Amino acid sequence: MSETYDFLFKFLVIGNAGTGKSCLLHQFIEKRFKEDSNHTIGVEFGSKIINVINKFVKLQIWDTAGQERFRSVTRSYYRGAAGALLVYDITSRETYNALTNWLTDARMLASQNIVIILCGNKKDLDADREVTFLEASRFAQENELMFLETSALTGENVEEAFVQCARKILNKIESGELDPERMGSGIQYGDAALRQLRSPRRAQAQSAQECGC
Amino acid sequence: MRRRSSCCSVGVKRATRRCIDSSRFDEFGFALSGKRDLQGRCHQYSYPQPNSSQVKELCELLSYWNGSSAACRSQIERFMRMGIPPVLRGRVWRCLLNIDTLRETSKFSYQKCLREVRGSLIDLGLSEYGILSAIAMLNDARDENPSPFLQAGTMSSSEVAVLRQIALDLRRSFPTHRSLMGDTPEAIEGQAKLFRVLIAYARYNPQVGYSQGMSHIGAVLLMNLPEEEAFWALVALLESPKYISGLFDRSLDRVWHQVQVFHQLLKHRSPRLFQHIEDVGVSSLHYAIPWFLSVFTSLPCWDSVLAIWDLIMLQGMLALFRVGLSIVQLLEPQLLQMKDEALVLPLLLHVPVEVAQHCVLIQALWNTEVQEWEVDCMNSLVLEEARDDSHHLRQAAESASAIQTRSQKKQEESTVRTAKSSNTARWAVKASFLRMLKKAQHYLGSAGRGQAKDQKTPLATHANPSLLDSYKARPAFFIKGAQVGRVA
Repeated sequence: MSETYDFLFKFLVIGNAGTGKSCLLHQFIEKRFKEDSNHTIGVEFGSKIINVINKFVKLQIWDTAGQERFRSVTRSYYRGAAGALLVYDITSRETYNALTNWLTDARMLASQNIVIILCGNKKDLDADREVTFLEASRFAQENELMFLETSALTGENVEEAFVQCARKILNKIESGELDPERMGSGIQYGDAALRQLRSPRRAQAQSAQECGC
Repeated sequence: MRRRSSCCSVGVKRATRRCIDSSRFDEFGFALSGKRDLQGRCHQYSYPQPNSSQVKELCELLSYWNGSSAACRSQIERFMRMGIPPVLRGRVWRCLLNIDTLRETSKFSYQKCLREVRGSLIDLGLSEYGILSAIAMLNDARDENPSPFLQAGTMSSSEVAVLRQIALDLRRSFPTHRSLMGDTPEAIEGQAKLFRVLIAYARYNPQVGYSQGMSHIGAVLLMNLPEEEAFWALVALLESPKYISGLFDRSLDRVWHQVQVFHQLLKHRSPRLFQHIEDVGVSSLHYAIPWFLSVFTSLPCWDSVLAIWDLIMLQGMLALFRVGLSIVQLLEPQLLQMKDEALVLPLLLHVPVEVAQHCVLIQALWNTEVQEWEVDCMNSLVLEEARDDSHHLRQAAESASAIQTRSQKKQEESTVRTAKSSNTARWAVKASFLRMLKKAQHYLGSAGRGQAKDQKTPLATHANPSLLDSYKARPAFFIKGAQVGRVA
């Protein structure tokens, strides 16, 4: 394998059935809408390297099944996820109402520092909208989520959703809020050389802290 | 008589059909797309074609078919090895699943059920041909203020949920098959048929209702059988322990259990590969649940899928285990070279054509034997491990209330550690012991059957829910009151 990257983040895509999770993933990776899409049974998987703040980040994305009864299976994927796209369908209030449940699962089972971006998908179907932008952004604010309305069909905001989520994780790493080396952080360094380069600085930062106290 | 004569000209018929449809669809009805199929589907089939005298012989066998006769079953296995001609597949499945008897002896009437469903749909202002457009309306119906349709009380909210999920999946099951693709009259009828079969099953067994994966099973059956027979075939497959009743339930506990059984089988059969997959961080759960719940219909070669299904109609769950083992073992050289979860999992989820093609996979399948006693053994092992684990955890929890938190934590850790370290040794001893036990039971009749069932109850009733949650975090040991799937 010749691909090089600075970081690897594990991502999850969660949300009710039929909200377009797999289509979002497909649009993100293949840059086109998947017309004849099968529903996801269990889990699907995709990965892509993106460039965020001058760093190459490999996203390893787990796309989960949305049907209620698959919830017990989906739960087994939360461990060690660094980021998640929580997806609802703007034309279906039911999928929006279910967000609280999804959020509870994510907060309980994923790492504490998981960065979640709320995606109101099917933005192109504005005529059938049942959930307003304002309402959802309020919900996002209350729950400390980032928020975007996306369209897997046109591709609008799809890349942005993944990139924004990755950017926030990178920021957290830079600020020291997230420690990539902690077990279950969902983050790995790309290669050993980079890690060595980084360690002295980390050590410095640590000693600086120690001095502080 | 007519049937027999028509079967004998199978080869000719297929040849002509191939010409007619070659412009848009392959011989199994899948759309041919440009350079590369988006679904990754292969349209070059390699299944063997039996000669006309063999076909004639098969027709004869089917005409005096007796499902309970061991001779008939071993005969049909011989034909499966030769390859079942596609035109005869429906008849073979009907015989193997004993559909006619099932329908005659059941109190359930498919037609009556459909009349009731239609009645409810009319109350909701829907039709079976316009389910998709009605999803929005069903959303309204589920809102906190129910719409007037629901107040009529013909459908409970859980039924509406089933209806909605089926409707969502109709277009997402084999979206490139001619009977389900796009808005042609054929596809509209195909989707309506699939809808009827699935909703009727959800009413036949409301405990199970509808689970994603079933739409694939229903669709494969409809590709090979007329509508009502497809419904009864679905009932036979999902209700009888002989077939795959061990897969679907409301909570997915059953399939979880079967995956654990497969996990043990793999560990036993290919220890090195098993360890490698584990080390990379992929659990059997990640790929075997999709394999099992879609009954391998996601494989890219349809002739292989059908051959696998033939074997499932004969051997039930045992066939699923055989297929799973065959695939993993065929992929072994590639898998052993991969050091990354991100490479291993996609390979297992999307088995490449080189491995999935009939001449490779089905050949390997016939060479991969799994014995019933072996599966029974693994079943007991999984149940026992779950019981042991729940025992350990319960002990730890009990001691927690008595002893101070800190020392309790140490003890808990050590319990788990000893459990883990002794696991390997225990496994070897237990496996050989269980094998002997099972063999003895086999000869002494089915004395052991009740025992396995008893193991289910204490776990299901006494286990503390919070303990079960901590189980879920450890898929390798988890099982929650899973049904003991006796594999026929």
